[in-house]
Amino acid sequence: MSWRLAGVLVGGVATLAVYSFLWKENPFYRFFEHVFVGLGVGYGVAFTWMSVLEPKLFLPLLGLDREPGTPYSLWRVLLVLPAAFGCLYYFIYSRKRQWLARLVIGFSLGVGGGMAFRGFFNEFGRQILMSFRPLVAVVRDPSSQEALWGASISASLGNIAFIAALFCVMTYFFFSFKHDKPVLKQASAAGRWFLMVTFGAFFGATVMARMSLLIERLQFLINEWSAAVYELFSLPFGG
Amino acid sequence: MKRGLTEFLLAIDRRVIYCLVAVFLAVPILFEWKMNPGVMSTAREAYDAIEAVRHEEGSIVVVAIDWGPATKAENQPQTEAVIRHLMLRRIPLAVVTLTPFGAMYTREIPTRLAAEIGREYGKDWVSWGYQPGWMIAVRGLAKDIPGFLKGVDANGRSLDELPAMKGVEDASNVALVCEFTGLVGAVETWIRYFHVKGKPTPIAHGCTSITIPQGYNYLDARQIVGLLEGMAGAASYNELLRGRNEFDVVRKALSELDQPAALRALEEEGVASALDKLPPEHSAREKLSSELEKVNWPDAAPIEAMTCQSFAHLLILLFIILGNVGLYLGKRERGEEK
Repeated sequence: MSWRLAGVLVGGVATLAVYSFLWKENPFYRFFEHVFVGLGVGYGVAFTWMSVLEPKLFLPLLGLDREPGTPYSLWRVLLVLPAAFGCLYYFIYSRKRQWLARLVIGFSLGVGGGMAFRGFFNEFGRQILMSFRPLVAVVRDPSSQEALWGASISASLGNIAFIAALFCVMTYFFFSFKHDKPVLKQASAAGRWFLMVTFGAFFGATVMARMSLLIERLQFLINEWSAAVYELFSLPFGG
Repeated sequence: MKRGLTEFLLAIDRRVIYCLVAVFLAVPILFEWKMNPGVMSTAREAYDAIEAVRHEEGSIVVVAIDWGPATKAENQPQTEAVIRHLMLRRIPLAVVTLTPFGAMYTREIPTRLAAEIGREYGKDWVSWGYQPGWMIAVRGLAKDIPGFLKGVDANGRSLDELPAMKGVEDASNVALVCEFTGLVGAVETWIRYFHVKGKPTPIAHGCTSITIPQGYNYLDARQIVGLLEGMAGAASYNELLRGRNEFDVVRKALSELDQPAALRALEEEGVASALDKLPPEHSAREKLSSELEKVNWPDAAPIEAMTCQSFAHLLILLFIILGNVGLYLGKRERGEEK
């Protein structure tokens, strides 16, 4: 039996085991759930070693990645510093020296915060800018971008709906004063409706995503796994 | 009898529903039913963005495979369709991943497609492999690609030996980023940090169905140039690729037949107009039509999957209607009792 055949067979059994939960909780499902968790963790540890720690830290530090005949540069010793600094994270398990872990956490938060601050404007700046839309959308020449006479009704209606939804939802999340004035009250209620429609869209999309996962598994079971099972049973009788 | 029906509708066992869903999904797979997918405008925008990329030295397209087995069902057909398109157009591409679980796919998918289409590693595609650090990795690549990769690809080969990497220095040499993910924060990271001198690189995005509404925020603000929406996006893209193959078949045939009017109609209006321009009695007309029928989707799996989706949606609609009928009858009966 080839490794490929064994892989497909085990994959099919594991898929059926996981879906057996839909009938009821059972040891078959529980076993494969633990196998999946173990595989995930094991893969993560092995992959981190093979693709990060070994090639980017240990091999350069020990000079094992050098071309034959090239001298060991003492600058490589400096790699100990980030490695040692990262290892301080493990002091989180020590009651007395826990403050050492906070150095690493603080450093990570600082870098993350600084990068996020910069990234925030790149991401949301443009979105805020693009939310300023003309209520009367002028038709433009696609080649020269020059404004032509007339307005696009569909684009204008789209822009009006967008701006109305934006204002209503922002009103809903405006908590600085009471929503007791009729206009604010109505706008806030409309904002809640807009949010509900959005959540509905998210929920519908989620159902579609889950169906996609199930379809892929069914395609695997029907097309690949069934063929592998057939191959397995025909093995002893084949040439 | 009526009470029995109401009770039945309101207490259908969930396992009955699961079984029916499984049957409805399995039938199109077993009988190999495929419905022609409609082409979504968002997928067409992504397709057009790739069609607009020119093959120039010192320019590359980055394909970010930021997904793993959890979202393979939706992200893999998207990724394959786009890599296939790039390889067919012979646009050099670099695959990279920000997640450890994507690393295996950065090897497997382009290797398989390159063998199928006849493309060569180093010349037509390269792998930058897994790059840890998320925003730091993306920022590092944007500023100095060879420097951040330490001058080597995922296999340890020098970038100088790879013709596809010639002249590729920073984000300004990246014509397009095609980012596929089901993870929160991945496409945001590329939007936020993959730019140089304030000029953002165009990004085409393939998302899972769950994140479609979020993807529209970026599309609406033109932060992405196209969107492949879950499995439906992959099916649409395959339909566009099939249209591309049809176009090539017709162009080749018309060139051989020396039909300039039909060729002009093909370039300007498409395959159907070109066929109309052929004289009705022309012998090639029938032959061409039968050849076009043979042009298939490069990857039929997402087309089949969308057929299953349609069946499942019909079943869900049916259950929603049945549930509401049961609820209505139940309310009416309670009203009668009072």
